[in-house]
Amino acid sequence: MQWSRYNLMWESPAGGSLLYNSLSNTFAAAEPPLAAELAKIQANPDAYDFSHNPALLLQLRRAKVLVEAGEERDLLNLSLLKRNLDCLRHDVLGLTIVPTLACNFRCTYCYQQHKRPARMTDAVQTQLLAFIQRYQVYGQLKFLDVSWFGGEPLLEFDRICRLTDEFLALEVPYTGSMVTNGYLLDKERIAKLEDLKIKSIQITIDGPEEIHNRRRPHAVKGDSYAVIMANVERLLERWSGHLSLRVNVDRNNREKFFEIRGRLQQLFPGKNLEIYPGIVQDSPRNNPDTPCECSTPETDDFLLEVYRQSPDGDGVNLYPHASPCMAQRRNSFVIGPEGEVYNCWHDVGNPDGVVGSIFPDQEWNYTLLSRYMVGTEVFADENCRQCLFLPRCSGGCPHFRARSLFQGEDFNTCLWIKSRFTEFLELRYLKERRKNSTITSNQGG
Amino acid sequence: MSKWSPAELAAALKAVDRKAAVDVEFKKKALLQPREALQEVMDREVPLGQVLTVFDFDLDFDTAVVAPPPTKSERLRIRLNKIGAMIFPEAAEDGE
Repeated sequence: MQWSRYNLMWESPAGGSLLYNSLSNTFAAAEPPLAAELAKIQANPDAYDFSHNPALLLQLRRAKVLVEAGEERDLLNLSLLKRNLDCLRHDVLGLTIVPTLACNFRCTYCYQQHKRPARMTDAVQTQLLAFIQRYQVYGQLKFLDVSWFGGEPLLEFDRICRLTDEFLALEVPYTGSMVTNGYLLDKERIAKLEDLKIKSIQITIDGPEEIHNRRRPHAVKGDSYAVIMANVERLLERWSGHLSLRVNVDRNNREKFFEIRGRLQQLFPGKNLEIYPGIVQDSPRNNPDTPCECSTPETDDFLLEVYRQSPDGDGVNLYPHASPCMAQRRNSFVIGPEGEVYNCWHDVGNPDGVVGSIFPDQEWNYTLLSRYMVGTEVFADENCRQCLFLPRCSGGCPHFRARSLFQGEDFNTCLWIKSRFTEFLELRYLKERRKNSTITSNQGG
Repeated sequence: MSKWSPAELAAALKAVDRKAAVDVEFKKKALLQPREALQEVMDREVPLGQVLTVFDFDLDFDTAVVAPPPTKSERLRIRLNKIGAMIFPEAAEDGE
């Protein structure tokens, strides 16, 4: 037996030792007497006498803190196999549909540099249905998951209604979601959301009213905050789905996040609402409001602070859960308004990011497709293979990883808060201890 | 309380692995309540000793779905067999 190289063990200032293993994604604590025993086990596992405590041996083996020779390699292979199976599964077709690239907002930081007023036509709608039916014909459509995106998708609400009718007529399980600025989400549209099977919506609010209005103005009418908030209130009253409010923060309004989150939680208590920070940052350069972000010391600081100030860690999930991005999945695509196909939301509107087309007579860009799907694979990267977090890492955002690997740009796509991981787990440990002491004191009457 | 021999330790780990491979609740128990899990598979008392307090874990890290999972009726039959084995242990040992 040997002490796994995927263990991270350190002394907690709160007492005892904390232990994380990335193979099994286990996080555990050893109270003081046990902490000393763990140090002995780490020094020489085979020499340690477990005969008086077989339960500890079982736990260390199950958590892969102790491994047999070659076991880590086999578990890494399994981890890669699981990811490949997940990426290549063909029973779910996940489509992000962009019915228009037009937008009624003029955000100061919009990342869609290639915006133009392209709108989906009837011919593209017909072809989109035919594209989906091809999956059905070949028995590869067991579930259809559609996310409406833009531009601003609500500018094409009628198109969304017509397409949804056609999707539902396919008689396969279906679910919808939408990313919108919320400005056009009036009571008539809200009333139709249930019929459209839209189960979740994301709306962006940029901090308090004055900041939001400055950064996210309506193209013609200027201030947008009051209209959006009125729509949000109505939405939460009349719709049963899950609303995510993304609050974009940068170094200027960072502290305001806690203020607006508190205000929103007060305004909408008990609602199916999640409020989370979107990190507006200098990197990726010039495109600060990106769907996915890279980890930087500054953002790590902020996320740890959000975690610290969230009683249940809500709004920020920092524990590593490797899950492939849609850009790496075989059956996930972004469909543009002209029927062009992308792997990634970042690429919408960018001709260089097109990987294919829903039209059967158009060619596909297999170079770009394979760069996204396997070219960004962490298991193929020598540096990543040496990393303790390899079993828990998908390589970060494939878009920025591909740009780093194939275009020579410089993005840090490592796991979130990698450099502050022990600090995060310390916070997590303290929260768990507080929770348990509350339970104990409650039980004690 | 008596100590366990190396052979007993090895047999216990093997027995837990076998049961955990087909019983997800037991798999969880083996990590969170290892003493109770050992008690369940070994016919002898487990020495008391301090163990880790586990906060986070992933039960699926060592499995991958490559073949279709058991059908509803297969799952039901497995459950019924378990209940039957508890009521009529002799019949279960005979494979009836």
